[in-house]
Amino acid sequence: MTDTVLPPVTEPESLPALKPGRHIALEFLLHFCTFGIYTCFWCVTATRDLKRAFNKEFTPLAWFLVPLVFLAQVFMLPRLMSAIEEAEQAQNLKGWSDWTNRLWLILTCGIGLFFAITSKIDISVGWVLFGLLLWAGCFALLNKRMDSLRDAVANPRRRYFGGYAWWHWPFVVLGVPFMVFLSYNMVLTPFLAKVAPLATNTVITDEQQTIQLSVVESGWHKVEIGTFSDGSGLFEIAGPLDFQYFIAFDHDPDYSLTDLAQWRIGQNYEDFNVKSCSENRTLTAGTLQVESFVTCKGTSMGDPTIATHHFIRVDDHIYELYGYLSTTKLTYKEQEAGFLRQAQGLKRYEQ
Amino acid sequence: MNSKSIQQILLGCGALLWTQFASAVPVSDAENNSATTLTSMAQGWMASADEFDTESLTKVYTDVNHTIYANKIVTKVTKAWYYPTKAQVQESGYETLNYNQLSETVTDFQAFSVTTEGRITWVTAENIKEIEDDRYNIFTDGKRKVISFPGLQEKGMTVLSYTVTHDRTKGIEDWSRTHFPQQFSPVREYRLTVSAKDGAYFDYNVFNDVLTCDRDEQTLVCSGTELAALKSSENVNWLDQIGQVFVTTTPDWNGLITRVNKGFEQALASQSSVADTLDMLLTADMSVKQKISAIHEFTARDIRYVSMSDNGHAIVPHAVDDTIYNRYGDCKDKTVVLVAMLNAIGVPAYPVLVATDRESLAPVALPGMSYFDHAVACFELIGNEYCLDATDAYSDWRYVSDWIQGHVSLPLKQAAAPAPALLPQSTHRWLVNQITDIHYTPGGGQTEQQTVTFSNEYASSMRSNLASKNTEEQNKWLTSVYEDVVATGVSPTFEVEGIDAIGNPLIVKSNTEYEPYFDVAEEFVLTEYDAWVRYELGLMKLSEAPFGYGFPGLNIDSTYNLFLPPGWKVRSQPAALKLTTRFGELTRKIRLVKPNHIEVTTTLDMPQTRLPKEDVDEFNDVIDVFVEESSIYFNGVVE
Repeated sequence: MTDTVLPPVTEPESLPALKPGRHIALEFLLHFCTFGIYTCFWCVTATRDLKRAFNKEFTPLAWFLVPLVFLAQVFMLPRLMSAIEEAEQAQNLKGWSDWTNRLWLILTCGIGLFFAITSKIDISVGWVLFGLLLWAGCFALLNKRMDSLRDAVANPRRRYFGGYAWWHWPFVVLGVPFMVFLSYNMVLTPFLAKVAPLATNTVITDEQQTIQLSVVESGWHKVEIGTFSDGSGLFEIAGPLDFQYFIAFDHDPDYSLTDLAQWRIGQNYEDFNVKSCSENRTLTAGTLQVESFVTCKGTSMGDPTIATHHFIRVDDHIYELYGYLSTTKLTYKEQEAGFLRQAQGLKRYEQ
Repeated sequence: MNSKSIQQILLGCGALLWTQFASAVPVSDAENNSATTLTSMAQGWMASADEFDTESLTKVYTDVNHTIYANKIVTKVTKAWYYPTKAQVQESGYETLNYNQLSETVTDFQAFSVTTEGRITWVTAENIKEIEDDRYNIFTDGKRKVISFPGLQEKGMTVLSYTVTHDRTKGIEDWSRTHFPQQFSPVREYRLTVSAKDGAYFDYNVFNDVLTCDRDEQTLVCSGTELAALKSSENVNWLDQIGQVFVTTTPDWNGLITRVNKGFEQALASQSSVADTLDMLLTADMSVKQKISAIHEFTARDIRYVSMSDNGHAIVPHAVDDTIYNRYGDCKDKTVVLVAMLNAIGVPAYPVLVATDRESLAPVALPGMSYFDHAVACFELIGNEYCLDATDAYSDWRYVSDWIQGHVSLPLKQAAAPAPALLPQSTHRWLVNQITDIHYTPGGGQTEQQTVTFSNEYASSMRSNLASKNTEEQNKWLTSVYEDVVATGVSPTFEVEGIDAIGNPLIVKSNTEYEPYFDVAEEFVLTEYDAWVRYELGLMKLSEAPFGYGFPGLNIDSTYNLFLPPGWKVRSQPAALKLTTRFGELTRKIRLVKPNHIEVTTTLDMPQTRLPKEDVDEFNDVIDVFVEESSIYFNGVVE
């Protein structure tokens, strides 16, 4: 007589818990509203679930870095796709076609490359948001695929509240309006305010025709007063980059040049991480009026940043051309000289 | 020169030179007739006194008449003043007359005062005081008679009339006179007549027309009425500006130079002690420049200034040997010693006459000795011209003494077309270098170490102020300078270097401690005045310059090292400056040596220039801008 020994029955409750399923739209929001940071957590979770439920060999914590490092994406995301595909086959699930797989990989790695480039070269916020949109979409789709896979096994699920873990909610609640606000201010408003680029050597004046600015660099636009200032500017121009603009101000005649220079320097220290400030004074050509050029350099969100203040005197008033540029290292190097040239162009109005 | 001293000169102008009179009371018939005429004229002027200025002294009448003969020149002068107030009587109730006792005689002297009631009081010998004319650096053997008019009252007049006869055969002949019709008082009537007799030569030059002149072959007549009073003002070289009529009997500059040189050659003829003196002063290993320096120092500091211009030494210097033996002499005596010694070491030097009150060549168009009142020795060395003033005991030989730079001069050397020229001027007469280290204390005070180096003319000026003082007096004087320049209410201590060596810069070092004067907060703003820049600029600002201004040139190099206590950090540095104007430049560079140490280097460069009057306002504006911008502001944080 032969004894047949059945394998021990594993109770589902004793299996490791997996990520619960989530609607594709909710998943998308998490990736998008957290600027892709959630993708790092998603990768850790996905690889852990593949390891736990499908015996795939992953070191989940290491996957936290994959969305942040483009080269890692190139090597690791195909591994992830293969593991998912094998798990699907093991569960007799129909996965994506080879073409779909390839397309996903190309798109995701392409967006990763795009993000890697944005840390070196300044790219419009609009394009960055668009990239983020695609990135979030890609991972929302992949999560949908992972959800199908998780459904195929008996592992229990962790508990979600309305589709999210408790700590997801603050990100989504705050992130959604923030992204709307950002898109409106950084993309829509400048886009609507922009008119045709100013030709080089175009002269911009204030309404009273007291001061003028010759636009010596290309790609600049005159924008509505209030686009960058609190509305007290005399005129404003925006550069080709998102954080690149000049605003002309008329200051209270009670303040001296020194008062204003010191005030602006103090303000810059509050606005960004200033490394150094310097001030140069000269006489306006052909006059005994002293003009001042203040420069503060530092970083903002890790990007090289410069603020300039060109003060000139016209008829007892001090006028200022306030300039600001914050961009990635490579773009900064390329833009700095032209920006400084432009920054010193404020003059008394000449008929 | 202030307006009062100018007035005194102008009152003495017209060459009132006389010697022989005991009393002005007319005694002969001719004098009686003349006196009657004068008193009648005075009564006539008094009758119209209502028309005169009620506040200002008025010169009612001036008549100068030169008759030039071959062997003499006869000058008749009549003038009358009206004194409207008691104050004018107090301040101006006298006349000063200069004369050459060797070559001139005064006759026909009549002088009196008239009261408003018509009472006439004649001047007698008791009303006249005779004093030596010991004005510094002057080519005259003069005496001065001061006439105090007796009986003069407010609303009264003084009348003076005399004749001066100049003997052309005595002394080194050079007769020339400059007449200044305009005065600091209104002039109602002025007349100048020059006539030549016996074919005698004269010429004249009118500068800045104030009179109408007509000349025929023999006679020049200039006249004017109601001449406005000159307005007293600072920064004016009056002899360069006011209307003047120059009359001379010298036809050409070479003739004048020859005659004056004759006197200098006479003095140079006796110079046997020069060699011994040089042996004492010089050593074989000295360079030419060192030898010149030693010779200059000897004549400037070992021969004291004493003027003995009488006995034929108005223009002729004393013999070189006499001056070296006496160890004293005036400008021309010292100059001739310089010339002798420089020539002896192979440096061909020559005397140069200087007009210390003239900086414009325009009025000096005709030859004449009367422009000049000083002498220096000049020479060329390696392409540069040097002029040594042996009366200046504090200036180095390498630059012309400050007080005569740019003044009218006449080299006493024959040339194809000799003419007066201006003495060289330094590009920057005032040269200062200052280095200040300021250590701020954690409690909000500071310690300050300052080193101020004065060079060239400025060193000379500072040296002249310090040399004769003892240490206590020096400290007191330097403290007052420190208070003017840097700050009051502190007690600096001083060290001075270079007082005795006139070729070296003069260095003043000071140490000062300041009690806490600012609140130490997390964030602070400090202001330092660039003290010497600010002070010198303040001195250069012109309150008035109606005829323009000879700006002497200013160069200041200033370095401030500002040290903050440990844990304090500079946040915004002072502004760098590059303020360029047509009058000069103010530049400043900033270097953050450490987070708590800033080096501020400032240069003020304003070269010497002649400012026309229309540029004075702009010049003052430039000064204002430079003063405003010279302050050093910076901001820091306490971490």
